[in-house]
Amino acid sequence: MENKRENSALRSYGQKVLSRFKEFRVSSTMDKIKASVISALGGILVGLIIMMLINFQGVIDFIITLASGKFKFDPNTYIIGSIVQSAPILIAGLSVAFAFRTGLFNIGASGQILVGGITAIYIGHLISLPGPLHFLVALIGAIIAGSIWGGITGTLKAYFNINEVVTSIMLNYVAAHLVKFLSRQKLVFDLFRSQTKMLPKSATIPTLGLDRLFPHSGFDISIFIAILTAILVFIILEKTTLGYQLKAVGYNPLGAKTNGIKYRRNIILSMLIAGALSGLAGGIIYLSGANATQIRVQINIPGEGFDGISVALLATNSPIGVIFSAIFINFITQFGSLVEGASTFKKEISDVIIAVIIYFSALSSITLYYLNVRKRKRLKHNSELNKEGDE
Amino acid sequence: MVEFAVEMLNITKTFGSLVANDDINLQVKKGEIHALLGENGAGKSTLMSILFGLYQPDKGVIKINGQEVKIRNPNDANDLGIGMVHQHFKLVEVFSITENIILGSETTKYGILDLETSKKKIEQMSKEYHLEVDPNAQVSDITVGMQQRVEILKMLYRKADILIFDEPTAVLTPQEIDELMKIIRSFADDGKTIIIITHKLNEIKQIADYCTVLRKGKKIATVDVKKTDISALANMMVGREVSFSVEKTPAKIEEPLLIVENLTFKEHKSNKEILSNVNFSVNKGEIVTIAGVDGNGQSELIKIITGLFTPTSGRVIFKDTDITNTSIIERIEKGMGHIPEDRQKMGLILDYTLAENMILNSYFKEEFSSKGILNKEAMIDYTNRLINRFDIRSSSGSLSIVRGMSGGNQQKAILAREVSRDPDLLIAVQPTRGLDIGAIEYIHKELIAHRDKGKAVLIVSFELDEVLSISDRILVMYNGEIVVSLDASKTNADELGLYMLGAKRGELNGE
Amino acid sequence: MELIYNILQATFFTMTPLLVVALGGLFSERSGVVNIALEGIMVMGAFIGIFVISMIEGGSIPGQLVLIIGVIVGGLVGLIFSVFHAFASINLKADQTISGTALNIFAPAVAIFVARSMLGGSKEIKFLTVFRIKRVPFLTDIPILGRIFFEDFYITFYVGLIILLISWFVLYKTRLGLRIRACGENPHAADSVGINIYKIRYIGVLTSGFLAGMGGVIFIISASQAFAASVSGYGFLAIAVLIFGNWQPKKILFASFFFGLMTTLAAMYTEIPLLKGLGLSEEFYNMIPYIATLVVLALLSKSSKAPKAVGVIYDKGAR
Repeated sequence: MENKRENSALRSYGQKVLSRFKEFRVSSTMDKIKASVISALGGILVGLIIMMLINFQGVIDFIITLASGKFKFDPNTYIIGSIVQSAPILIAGLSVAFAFRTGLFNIGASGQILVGGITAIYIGHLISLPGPLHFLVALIGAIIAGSIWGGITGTLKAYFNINEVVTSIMLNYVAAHLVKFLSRQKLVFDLFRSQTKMLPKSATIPTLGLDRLFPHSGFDISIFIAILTAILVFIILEKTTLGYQLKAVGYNPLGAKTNGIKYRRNIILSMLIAGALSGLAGGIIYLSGANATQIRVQINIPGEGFDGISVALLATNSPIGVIFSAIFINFITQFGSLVEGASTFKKEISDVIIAVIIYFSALSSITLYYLNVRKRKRLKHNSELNKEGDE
Repeated sequence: MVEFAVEMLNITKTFGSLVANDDINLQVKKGEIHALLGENGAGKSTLMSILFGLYQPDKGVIKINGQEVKIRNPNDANDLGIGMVHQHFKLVEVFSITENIILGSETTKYGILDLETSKKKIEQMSKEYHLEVDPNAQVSDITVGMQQRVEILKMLYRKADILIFDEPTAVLTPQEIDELMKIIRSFADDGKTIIIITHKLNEIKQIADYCTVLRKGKKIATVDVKKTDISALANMMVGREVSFSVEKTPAKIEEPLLIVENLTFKEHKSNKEILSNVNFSVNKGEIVTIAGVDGNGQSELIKIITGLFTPTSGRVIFKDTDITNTSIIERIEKGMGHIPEDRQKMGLILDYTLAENMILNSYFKEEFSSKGILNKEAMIDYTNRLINRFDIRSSSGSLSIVRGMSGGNQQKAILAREVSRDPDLLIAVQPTRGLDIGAIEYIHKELIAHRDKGKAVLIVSFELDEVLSISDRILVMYNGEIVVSLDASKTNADELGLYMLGAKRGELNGE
Repeated sequence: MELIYNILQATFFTMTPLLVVALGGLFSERSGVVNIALEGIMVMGAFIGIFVISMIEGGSIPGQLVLIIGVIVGGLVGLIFSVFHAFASINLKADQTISGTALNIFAPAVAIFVARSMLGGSKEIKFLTVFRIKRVPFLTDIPILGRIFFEDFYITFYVGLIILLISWFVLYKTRLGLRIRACGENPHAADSVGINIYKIRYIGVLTSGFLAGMGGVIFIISASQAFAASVSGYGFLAIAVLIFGNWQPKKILFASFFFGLMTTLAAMYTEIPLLKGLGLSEEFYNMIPYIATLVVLALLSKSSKAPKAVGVIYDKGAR
């Protein structure tokens, strides 16, 4: 019934409006960056207002404390640390962004992280290999496990048409219970701390001495792995036939299918890759020697998976953008700790700020629209050349 | 002074930089049937949407029965007795006919919907106006013709006496059209005022008293239909001389290329038989058109041939190979081209650039990629060549996002992609839907040129004029069956109409 | 027999929040707006609702009334909070999933931040009253049914059933319901007969906010004795129940019962000989509800009847 024989003037108007509203897809990189920066500033501003509403004097005191230098500000912790420790949410962000670009909402990164993490821990304890090789094998194990976990979601969507959001949420819980079970097995269990045992040094992320160069920063090579991964994801999405197919399916499944692109295969592939990325994030989190993250024996759904959503959204799902948004969001989180250390406020203010930033990002298409309206007006002033190529 | 039921004076409406209506005047007398003629994009629908309260004009005055009025929304229009049958019916498919008719003007009893009373009222109206419907039927189960009757009843239920019809005949058979014309005439005799939006000239001749012609947002003239002939109307609409015939030489038919054997298709959910034992073939060097009213199985048939659906039973043979179960991409590789029914949902990835769309079914070829890496320069070069050859217009050439292109250029892009691969069988479903005359002529020419290269062309069309002018052979589909195969040069609209309605069955000659 | 009573009683209080929140989601999605923010709205409702309960309990107000007040406060807070989602997705035509996600992040963050900043160091809000009703004179004594329905129960279960009845009535028997359903199926049809799409969708989203806020309080009072900025993913589970229930009130009742039963069986496996006999670890029993839901969804997926226009931004120009 949705016949398209329509007044084409109206339709092309509709398309013009849509093409502007239809998110960031059709807007320039510069516009995307602008929109993200506006969202970020807006979030910080709202966070500040909330702080003032709760305790105005507290904000003044906080600023005085910082300005007076009474609070010991350690750049290794707050600046270098923020950057180098953003690797897990950066990679989780890549997982979410990759899925988004191919039309899927991977809210299941947390479960994939857990499954990847526990696999890495098992490999760490189960086999013994020399130095970086052991780490590498454990990391690959994490990637494969995460990939399988993501693949389940993809398969259920491709063959049974179950919404990936529902599947991911269910699988997060299944993963949480499964990992709880696995983490209290004799091989990996530290009875006294009720968590997994410390890994042998050979399985942890190499630091190349960076941690000694920047004490308290937790510096290891994970941030380099993360940035390389971002570049790899960028290449897959923008330069390869694989990315071309995956995005086509994401934008328009029926259109892709009609033109011979295999829908099911691509949905599953996409979730396999997104899962692999989350698995990698899990490996990075739980193989970290410096930050000594162990899996506690309890039902836990790691927050990095959800942070990944924030990171991806702020970056408007651009893999390169994810590098910056992950570091920025980690900064905000560190800022929370700083606030808690230097004032009466609690560190969760950072989560409030991040949430507001995401809300503004959701509105970024509107922000872009107004940016464009202003630009168009300027253009019109400058030239009369704004000629439509359409009939 | 003449009493006008509707007066729209100096109406101007712009959308961004586009002037949809430019200082338009329209005056319609009470009891008159007034046609609004123009091509797609001429501004007819915008003007009527303003009258119906869906848009606000930037400038201009509307008077109803001599009173100046402001129509801010469809409720205002309703209160003024204005009703509209939209071209795309505005019906909720999962609702019953009764629910659809009362939506927005519901009767309630103690806050509870009073469906019984409404139902009785609808039954009574249905008898009074000879608009037969079953108030309990669900809209998704009824024919297009009946859906249109529901839309008409919706207006009458709201006691409208100014009735707007937007392209009311687009989806009907010739016989259904006659029936509709009778009903519209009886409304006018009852003193109701009728405005019909259309681009079909013979219908205007058949029914309208006066006709206002719009072109590119401007009013060209209002004429007395009885004193004006069809070619004059056509020239006013298009702004140049129009030839109605498509130039083509007789077909040089060679051996069969596509053979469809005993094809049956049942819908999975309802187990309803959509296609029953369909048999036909398409030969090299001919254009075969499947005619029929929308929804008689054409869409499913094409989806089976192109590989989107799998038949319940039967075979599809292409180039002497059984392809019933091969993948879509294998069929494309084997020499099948497909211009699908919905260009935006099926033909294109709207958020991709033109260049990305042009390689949608050939990106894996050596020309465009090696070792899994896309060769963007090759892609753009290729697209630029197609842009030149097919005159595809867009704001930034091969890098334009397709979503922002006009419908005609989107269709040209699909045509370019498919024709340039030089497929042995080109399948085109409603290739000219919603396009203006220039684009239609162009696409017809390309399809015929493809045939003249000795290729086979299979078309599905609901437009009888198109069917008759472009085809070499016509297959009529009714109720999931091919009821007749006709030589296009030896038939006419009336005969086709009888087959389309299922009133007549014929020989499947040449099969 | 005793065991069956216990299982049913436990199932009823597990399913109640799911039922109420899924019905909330029903209103939103039937009007055409995806509401993935149910989780966040539950958290927000529970936060203030439980806070109010902790303030007024132990005074002159009887326990059950305290509960009802808490639930209504939770509902109102949910309603107000959902305005953010409505504004973004209806007025500003934002991506509904992203807007919902923002609310999901925002709610626990604000709850913890405010709780810790204003109510001392802990993020927990404790309450003391046990709202479970042991027995009711006469009613509990009815053979069989009395023990199933009127022993060890929460009054909220009946609140949930009443909401179910009202939801069904409103959606299928009233003018508003007809219009809500029309907006979710074909907003252009509704628009063309003069129905204000924005208004109807606001009603849908705000109703979902009200019910999800209530559901948050209902969940906390039956699950624990404190609110710790979380509703354990029940908002997301409610979305699964909504889909499982095929966007129809009656089937949602069934779906929430099914999920509640599975959760109860998983929690009580030690008392059920058949399950205990399997000899699995605790964790595997705990997975049952999630895996069972996925299996059922896979089986039912072909007959899914999602509202056609759900999640589709309504734009007059783009018809």
